[in-house]
Amino acid sequence: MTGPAAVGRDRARPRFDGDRTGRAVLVLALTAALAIAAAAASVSFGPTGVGVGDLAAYLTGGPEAVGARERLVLEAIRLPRAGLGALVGAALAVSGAMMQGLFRNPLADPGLVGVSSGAATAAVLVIVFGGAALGPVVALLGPQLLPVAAFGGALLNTLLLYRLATANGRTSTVTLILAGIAVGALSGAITGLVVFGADDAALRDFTFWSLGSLGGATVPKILAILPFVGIVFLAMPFVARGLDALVLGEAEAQHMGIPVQRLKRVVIVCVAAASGATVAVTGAIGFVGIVVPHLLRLAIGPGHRFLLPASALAGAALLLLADVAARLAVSPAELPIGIVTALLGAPVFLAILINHRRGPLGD
Amino acid sequence: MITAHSLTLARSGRSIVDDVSLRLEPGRVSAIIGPNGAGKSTLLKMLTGELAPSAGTVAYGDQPIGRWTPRALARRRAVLPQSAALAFSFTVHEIVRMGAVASGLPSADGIANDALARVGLSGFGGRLYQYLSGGEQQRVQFARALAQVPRPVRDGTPRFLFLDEPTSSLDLRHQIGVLDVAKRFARDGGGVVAVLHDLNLVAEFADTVFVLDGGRLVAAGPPVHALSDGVVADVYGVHGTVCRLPAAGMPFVLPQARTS
Repeated sequence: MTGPAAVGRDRARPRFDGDRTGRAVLVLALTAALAIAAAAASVSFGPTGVGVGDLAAYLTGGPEAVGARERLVLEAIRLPRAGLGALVGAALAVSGAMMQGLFRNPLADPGLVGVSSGAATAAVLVIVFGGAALGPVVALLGPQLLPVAAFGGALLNTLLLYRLATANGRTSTVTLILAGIAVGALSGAITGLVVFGADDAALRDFTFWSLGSLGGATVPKILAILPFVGIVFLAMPFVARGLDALVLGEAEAQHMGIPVQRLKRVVIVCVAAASGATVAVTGAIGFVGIVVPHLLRLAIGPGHRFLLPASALAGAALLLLADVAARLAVSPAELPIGIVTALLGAPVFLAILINHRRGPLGD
Repeated sequence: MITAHSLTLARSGRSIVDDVSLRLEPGRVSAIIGPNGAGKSTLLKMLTGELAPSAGTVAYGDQPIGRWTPRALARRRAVLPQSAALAFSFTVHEIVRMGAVASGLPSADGIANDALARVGLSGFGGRLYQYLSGGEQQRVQFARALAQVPRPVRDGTPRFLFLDEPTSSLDLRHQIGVLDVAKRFARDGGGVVAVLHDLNLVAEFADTVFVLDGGRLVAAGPPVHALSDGVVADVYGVHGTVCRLPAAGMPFVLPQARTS
């Protein structure tokens, strides 16, 4: 304990019991490595026979180093797909972590409590009525229309949920989940009504959209959601300390100098932006927002300064790997990626619930 | 100094706090006492800026509380709340460091470590808060408040500690320990405001006592005067319990001595 090595380490940086910064930095580096590996795997696997060797040649020797067919597969299909997968996975995990911080509840996930359903309803309204009634708006927003609408729907449901589930600054798990079910069901019913009344062309558009996978990834799609997801990533360092303080309680956060009302508004907009934008391009993909933050909290604790960026990296890695699994499982066909994430996520969700009931948090 | 002028808080037509004016001076421990439902915690919340009064004003120095940014106010005063469970497992060190970060001083880790030592919890930094006993949790929260105002006087301005029932979960030794730390904070030039139930602790540790009943301030002054048999009988409805130690005339309360 008191050898020269220990003394030297103490001098370099005093160690405090319970300070998990060192471990968090290590985990952050690991998640970054994992995300890079997952991206490489995502680009390397597929039914066309373009593989790791072609990727390596492409990266080291430039576009000319691979054949025309390989280049087309990489540039037009694989790279946009990996890019979209990374962006969507990161956005899902970060919006989950932020929402859980806001509600002070590890089970709050935009996909589970009806936020994504709100985004989906708004997206469907736009798809079905977009041609006629919204003509000028469509012309104005172009490819941004779907993300903007989905953001609006997600925002509406998040606000509604926060009003319903939070009283006197405390959120009850039961009320949150029940309110989420109700809000989600209402959104689902509206979606159903709209689809029921839609014409054939709109129905075809809707079906393509609702099958949602990373399969249709294109560079314009990435660019369409980038501003939304980008804002959320930029907000991470500014909300981290506030979300930590909020864990102690709303009044306590205020006592520690956090402008609580502003923080809540920023986080609600971030959650809606991230989940709305992802729903707009890939449909609802569940459980990433629960599994990733939960596992990371076990490793590095709930401090949001590291939890949020680590969630972004691990979320990207998880969704890319789930996408690879979805492609390989029934090759050459593809599983919907939501099935893969649900298979991974539902057991974790149950584990949290069981711990929740046994632990000091039961309410 | 903190001044409250005609503070009133009404909810659904009923006054919870009714026209209370008082001055909280640095260098003193001020105790707020009164029966259940007298409005003690509500008054404390208005003094810390957590609740806005329906009428009346609170000023820190000569600035009304509304002019302070949350960050500046956090450097002026810290608050020990009545405790609640956490949804996520922070370590003790991480919780106390949040207070230290709010102080705006450098080396938050060191400040957190010192604050834990002051409440007798050295070595608890690595424990998870949610697995501590209620009394230990309360002392961790107290350490967090201390870390937020680690120096009773900074840049010539006194800092304030607000404590809402700081001894409610503590055994006898730690009740005295926590109030000793608070008393030293006041002796070093800071201000301490505590809602307390144990009148004997009030008699020993408070310099000024504010007695609330039905939302109104019914007595104020040093314990020797404010803790009279008459006041205790009026407010709590229990007669004949206040006795005096011969030496300093310090009052003490003996429930067994009640006459009715």
